[in-house]
Amino acid sequence: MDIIFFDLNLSKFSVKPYYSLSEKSYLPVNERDIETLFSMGNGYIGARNSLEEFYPQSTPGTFLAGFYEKDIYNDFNILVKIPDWTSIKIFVEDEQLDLTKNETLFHRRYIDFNNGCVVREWQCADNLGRITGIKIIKFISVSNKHELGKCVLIKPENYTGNLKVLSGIDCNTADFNYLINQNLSIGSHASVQMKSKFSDKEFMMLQKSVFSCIDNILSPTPYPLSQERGQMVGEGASPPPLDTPKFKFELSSSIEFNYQTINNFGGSFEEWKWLAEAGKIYNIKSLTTIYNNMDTPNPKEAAQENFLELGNNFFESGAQKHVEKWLSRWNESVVKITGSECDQKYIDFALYHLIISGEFSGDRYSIPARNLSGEAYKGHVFWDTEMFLLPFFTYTKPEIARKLLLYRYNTLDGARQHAREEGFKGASFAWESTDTGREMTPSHVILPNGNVIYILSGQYENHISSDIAYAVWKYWQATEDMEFLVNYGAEILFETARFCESLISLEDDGIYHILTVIGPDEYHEKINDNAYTNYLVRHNLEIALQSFEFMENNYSEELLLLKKKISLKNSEVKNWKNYAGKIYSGFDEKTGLFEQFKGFYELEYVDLRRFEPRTAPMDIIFGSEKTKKSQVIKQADVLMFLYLFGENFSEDIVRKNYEFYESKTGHGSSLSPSIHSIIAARIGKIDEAYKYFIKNAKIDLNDEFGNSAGGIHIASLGGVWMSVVMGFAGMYPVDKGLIFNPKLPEEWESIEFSIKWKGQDLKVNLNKEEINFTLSGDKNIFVGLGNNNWKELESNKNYIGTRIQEIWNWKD
Amino acid sequence: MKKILLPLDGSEASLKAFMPAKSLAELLETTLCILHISEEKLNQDAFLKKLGIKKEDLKCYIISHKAGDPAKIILEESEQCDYIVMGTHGETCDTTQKAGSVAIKVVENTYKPVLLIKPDVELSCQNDKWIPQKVLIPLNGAPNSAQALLPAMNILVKTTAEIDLLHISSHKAEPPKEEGVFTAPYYEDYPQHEWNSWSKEFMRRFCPILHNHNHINLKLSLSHGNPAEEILNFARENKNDFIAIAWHGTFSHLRASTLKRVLSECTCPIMLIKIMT
Repeated sequence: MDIIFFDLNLSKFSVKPYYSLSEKSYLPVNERDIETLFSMGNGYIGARNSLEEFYPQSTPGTFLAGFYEKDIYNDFNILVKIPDWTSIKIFVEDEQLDLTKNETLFHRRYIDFNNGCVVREWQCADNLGRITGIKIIKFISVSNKHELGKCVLIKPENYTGNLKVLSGIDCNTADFNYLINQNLSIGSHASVQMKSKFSDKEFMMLQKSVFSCIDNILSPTPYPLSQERGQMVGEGASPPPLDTPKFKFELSSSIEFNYQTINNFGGSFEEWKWLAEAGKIYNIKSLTTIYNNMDTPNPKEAAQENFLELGNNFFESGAQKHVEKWLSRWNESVVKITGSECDQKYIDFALYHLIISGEFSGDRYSIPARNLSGEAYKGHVFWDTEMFLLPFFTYTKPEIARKLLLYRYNTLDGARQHAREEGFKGASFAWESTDTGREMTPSHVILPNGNVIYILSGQYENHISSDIAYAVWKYWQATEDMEFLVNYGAEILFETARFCESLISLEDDGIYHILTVIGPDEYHEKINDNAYTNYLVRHNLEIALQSFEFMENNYSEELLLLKKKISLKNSEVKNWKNYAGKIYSGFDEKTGLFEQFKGFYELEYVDLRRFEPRTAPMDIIFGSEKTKKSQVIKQADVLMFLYLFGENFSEDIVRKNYEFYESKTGHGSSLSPSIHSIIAARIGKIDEAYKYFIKNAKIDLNDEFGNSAGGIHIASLGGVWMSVVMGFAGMYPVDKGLIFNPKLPEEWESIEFSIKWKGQDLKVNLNKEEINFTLSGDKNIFVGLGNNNWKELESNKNYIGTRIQEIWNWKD
Repeated sequence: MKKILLPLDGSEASLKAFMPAKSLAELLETTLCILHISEEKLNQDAFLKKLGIKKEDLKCYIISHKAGDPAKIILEESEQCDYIVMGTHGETCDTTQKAGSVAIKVVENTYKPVLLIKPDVELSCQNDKWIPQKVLIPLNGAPNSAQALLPAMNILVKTTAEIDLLHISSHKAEPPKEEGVFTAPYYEDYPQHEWNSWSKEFMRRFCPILHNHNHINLKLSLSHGNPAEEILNFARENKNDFIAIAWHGTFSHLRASTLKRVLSECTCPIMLIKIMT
C-alpha cells in the first residue's frame, strides 16, 4: 500500500506548508536557527533538522529524553547528545552533491503540519550540468516513540549515471566526552550501540532501509503547481520536478544495485550504488529504531524486534501509524482563526512544537525549556513546563499533563532532599531539574562583559514548588482524575505545603511573612514578601488542605497510608488552615495595587521608553546593581498571579496593576510577552494584547533576539496557545466550570478550538458577536459567560452566547 | 600567491608602515611589493638608502616606482595585491587629521584590507618583527561585517594572538537591517545558560575560521554604550595592539563617526576592510 509519504502526488504536503526557503534565502549563518525551527520530536527523542549532508555551519543534534550525565566540567547534569540518524549523502559519479558547491536551482524546507513531518526539496546542477532532483522527508513517530523515519527520493533529471547514497547514523555528532561507541555490526542494518562512560545507561540505534525505483510512465505536467504552492516559493525559483502532482508512478519490478553496510567509530551507514537512468525516481526509505536500557531491559533485542513486528513493509507500517496518530493529535489541538493568515501560521507553528514536545514526555523525564531541540539550557526542566506548557496539555490532552506531573512526583525524593539540605521541611522542587529532582542550577556565570554573577535561583526561587502544586490542582480541577490525586497529586500537595510552612514566619504584626526569596522578576533577588510567592504559597496551603479534606471524606484508607508514608500529622494540616488566610499579600485597598515586594515602591522609577529601541536586556544596559535599585522588572510578577488566579480579581484591580507594572517591565524573559498579552486582553486593551501576542509568537520565528539556535523556546510557544485561548477567547478554568469572556483582535474574525474538561470535549467557536459551544461526552458541564452567567451544558447539544453592548448573554 | 603592497612616498611618516608590512609578508610567506611614489625616480639602492632600509632585512620583495597621483596609483597597484599596508600620513603630514588625504582616498575606494599605521604608532615588536599579540575585533552582529573581516582573521590564524571579539549593544539604536543579524539577546530567560549559549553561537556564526582552531585564544566580550568609546576603552584596558574594523567605506559628513574617533585616538595598527554591499 502506498501511503502519502511516498505518493508523489505531493500536493498533499503542500496544503499548509509553513515555511519555505528558496536558494536565495539559504544563509549559512542562519543555519542553526533553521535547524531549531524545523526540529522534530516526540518527547522521547528529539532531533534538530540539519541539512542531511552536515555542513560545517550545521550543528546536528539528536537527544534522548532522560539521558543525563554529570557534566565533566561542572557539578550538574546535562542532557547528552547522541548520534544523529538523519545523515544522508548523495554522490553523482563519486562527487558528493553539495549545497555550497553545486549550483542550486531550487531549495526549500518546510514543516508539513498535515503529516507531522519535515520536507526538503532540492534541485541542483553539478559543473557538468547534470541536474538532480531530491526530496527528503523525515519524521519522528508520534505513534511509536522508538521509531524515526527518513525517505529520500532522487531523480537524475537529464542524465544517466552512477549514483551512490550513504545514509545512516553519524556518531561524530555524539558527545564522546560521555559516550563510548560499542561499534556493533548487525547484518544488513546500520547499527550503533553506545554506552555511557560514567553510568550504566546504554542505547541501541538500528536503521533498516528499502531501496526501490519508481518509473515515470506519463509525461509530466509542467509547473506551476497550485497557486497556493507557487506563492510559497522564492521569487524566480524553479520548482523541483519531483513535486509535480499530475505525475503517475509505478514501482519498477527490478533494479540492480550494490549494497553494503559500513561500520566504524564515526558511525554506521548503509551504502547503495547503482546506475541511475534519466527521468527515473529512486527511493530509499529508512526506519531507525532506538531503545535504551532506562526503559527496556535489552535495547538491542528490542530494536530488532521492533522491525520484526512491523514486518516486511516496515517503513510503510511505521509511517502510516505515525500519520494517523499525528492527524488525531493535530485535530485534538488545532486552533483555527480567521481574519489573519499570518497569525494562523504562528499558531500552527506553536502547535507543531507543542505536540512534538509532549507526546511521550513525562513519568521519568519532562519537557526541557528548549525542548529536545538544542543544547542550550543543557536539557534542564524549569517552571516553564508547569506554567506555560501544562495549560495546553491539561485542556487538550490531559493524559500528557498527567505524565508531566508524574515526572514531578517521581522526583519528589530529590525535592525532599533539596528541602532538607536548605533547612526546610517537605519538598522543594529544583529550579533546574533533570532526572533525579536534585537542584541542578549552576552557582554562577561569567557574563560576556566579564562580570561574574552568582545564580541564586536554585536557593531562593522557591515559588517553583507552589507553581507545581498549582499545576497539580489545575489538572485535578480540569479532569477530576481521582486516581491521580489520591495516589500522586496529594503527596505533591502535602509535601509542598510542608515546604511552604517552613518558608513563612510570624512577625510582630501578627501576619505571616516570607523573607529572602526571588520571585519571577529575577532582577530583584533576596527580597522580602514577594507578592507572587506569597500568593502561591497561600494557595498551596489552601489546596493541600482541600485535598486532605477531600481524601478524608472519600479516600480515608488511602489517606491513612499516605500519612503514614510521609509521616504527616493532623496538627500540620491544622496549621495550614491557620496560615493560609494570614499571609502578607502586599495589597493596598486604597490604590488597588499589589506591591511586588516590600520596598518596591521606594526603588528608582525608570522610564523604559527612553531606552527604545534596544537590542539588549535592561540588566545589561544598567548593570545588575543599578537594575536591583530600580523598578525595572524582568517579567510578569504581580501580573503573573493575576493571570493564574484571574477569577479572584476584579477587572478594575487587574487593570490598575497592569497599568502600574506594564510600563516598568523590560521583558528580559521570553516568558513575559504572553502573560502581558493575556492580561491586556482580559482588561480590554486589545491592541496591546495583540502587540504582545505578535511579539511572543515571533520570538523564535524571527530570531529577533539572537538565541534560537540553542533550541526552541517551547514555553513561549505554550504562551501562544495561552494567549489565544486564555487571552483573546477569554477562558478562565475555575472549580465550577469554564468561564469565557472573549475579546478578539480587530484583525481576527473568529476563533475555533476544543477543550477537554471533566473528561468531556467542548468545541468552542466564537467571533466578536457570538460564541457557540458544542459538548461531546456523557456528562454535563458548567460554562459561564462574562461574570457569573453560568449555564449547565448538556452533552451533544449546541449552545450560543451573544454579546450585546459588551455583555455576553446566553441565547435561549 | 599573496602580495602585500607597501606604498611609500619617502617620508618618515609613511616609512612607519615598513616594519608591519615586512612582518606581515613574512608571516604570510608572501611577497612584499614596495611601491615608491615620487616624482623623483631613484635606483633601487638609492631608494633603500634614502629610506634607511637594509637589503638584508628583506626576504621576498619587489621594488617599483611610480609618479603621479598617489591615491590613484596605490588603488591601481593594489588590484594585484591582497593587503595594503600604508601610513595614515605622508609627506604633508598633518597629524591633527585622523589620516591624510591619500590614505582616506585609498580606504574609501578599495575593498582590499588596508592596514593603517599612524606616525605615532605603538608597535608591539619581538625580534624586530611586528606580530599582533592582543587583537581587538569589534563586531556589530551583521554577517556582512563579519564576512568582510575574513582577511584579518586569515592573518590571525597564523599567530598565537589572543583575540578579543567585542560586541557593543546599544539603546536608542536599531539593530543592523540585514538577514542573519545576530545581536545581544534581548531575552535572557536564564542568564546562567543564555550567555554561554549566545557567546558560542556568536563566535560560530561570525568567526568560524577562528572558532575552529584550537590554538586560538578567542574571547567574546559584550559591552554597552557609545561604540567609539567602548572600543577605545576596551583597547586601552586590554592593551590591544591591533584592531580590525569592517566599515561601509565613506568618511563623508555624519558617516563613520565611530571609525573617525577610533582612528584619531588609537595608536595601534588598524586594519580597515570595506564591506561589500
